[in-house]
Amino acid sequence: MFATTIAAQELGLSRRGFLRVSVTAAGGLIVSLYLDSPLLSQQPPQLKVYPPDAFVHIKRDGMIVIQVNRLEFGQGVQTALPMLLADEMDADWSHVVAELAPAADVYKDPLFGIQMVGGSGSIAHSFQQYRELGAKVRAMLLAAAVQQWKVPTAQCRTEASVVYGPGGRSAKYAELADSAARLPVPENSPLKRASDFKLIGKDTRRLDSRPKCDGSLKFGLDLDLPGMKVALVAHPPIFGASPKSFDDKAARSLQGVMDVFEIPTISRGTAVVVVADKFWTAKQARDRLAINWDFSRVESADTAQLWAKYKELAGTPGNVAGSTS
Amino acid sequence: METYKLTVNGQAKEVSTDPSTPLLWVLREELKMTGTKYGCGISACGACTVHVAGVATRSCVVPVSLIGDRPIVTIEGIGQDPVGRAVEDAWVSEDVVQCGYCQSGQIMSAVALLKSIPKPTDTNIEESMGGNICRCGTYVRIRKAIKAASQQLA
Repeated sequence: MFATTIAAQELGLSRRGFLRVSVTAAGGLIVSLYLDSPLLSQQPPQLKVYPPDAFVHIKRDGMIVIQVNRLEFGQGVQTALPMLLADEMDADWSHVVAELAPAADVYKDPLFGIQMVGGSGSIAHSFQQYRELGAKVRAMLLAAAVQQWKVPTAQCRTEASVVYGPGGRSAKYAELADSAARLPVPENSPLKRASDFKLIGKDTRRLDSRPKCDGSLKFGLDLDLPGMKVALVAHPPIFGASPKSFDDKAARSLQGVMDVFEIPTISRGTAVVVVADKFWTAKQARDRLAINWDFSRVESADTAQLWAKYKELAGTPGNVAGSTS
Repeated sequence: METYKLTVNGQAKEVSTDPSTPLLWVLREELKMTGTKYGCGISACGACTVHVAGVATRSCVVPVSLIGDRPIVTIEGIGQDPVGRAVEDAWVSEDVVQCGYCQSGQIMSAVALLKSIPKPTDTNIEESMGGNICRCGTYVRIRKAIKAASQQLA
């Protein structure tokens, strides 16, 4: 299931991952991907409606909830990864719901070995994984129907969340989910040929449009935890600068300000942070900081200096990039 | 600290806060209505647009003390308005959004436009939507969706 990579080996992850299925307390089929790794607990998780490591949940009402292990920020991954899984699963796309997966080992990038998004790798790295998950779920639903009807597998087919069998038989995925969950997970399920794709490569419309149009979608800034404070940073005006000194008396005098302190910046400078009960308190406090910046250690290169450096380098022997002879 | 009585999406609300607090932060932090977004804080991007007495308003620069008894409508409530509903539906059917962060403000501005000009021209759209910035660059679809909503409402 998992591609072997240096990153994965460094983390101590073996190549083998395996699927496990379970019937949820609320009913329905859940397929999870477990890593066979000494780093991870081998205990199955507590069963609940959404165990953190579930990728697919077929609900009794026919809705298919697919966990997306990448952060959506406009690139469309909240739609694209479910498309991969739903296509192989022959799921009814109009009943597919995408959810942002929580933080868990099982959602780590198969290649990088960490849960992340970036480097334009979401589809490339998850293409195989999500398709295989979908193909295995489909195979199990098909097997459940075959077992129930006592007919040959070859006489059955799947389409839009329904298994069709000989003699006009048909069963919805939601009806088969519980019995499918009791079947063994197939080791290998063949993937579709590209010419058989129904969703991959097609315009499916975004799954996340409505909550982005009615204000209900929660962005990072919308997180609200009990007792949460707001921190605002007074950044150095130039990379690498630090406060020579600062006066925070006026800032601290505001009701609701908890603390003012310095933190290092990634450009080896220092910033000043205000922590307060609310945004507006923190903003007013930051505006009242009197910071005397020290620019003595900042990057001082300018265009004239860079040109002079280039000219100097142009006069020195270079490396041979290629030769025609 | 002062106490203010506000009408938000038709509901009476009461908040106690510093009079200088912008409406945006009253909505987001006091009333826990996070659909209205913080972008620039200086009325330059439009992400925080709400309706105050029907006027598209940048809530990040309007102190709560200036609201008075003017009713406020936010993205959480605009779907109950026929024009608001048509705009939201057009946004979905035209697949306007990408990251979606600016779209609450875009939709609030679009609804205000269609309420004053039911059949806007491209120029009308550019003039009234020009203050709503979208870094994903969804402008072409926004224009299509406004026209689709306009037709739907005609």
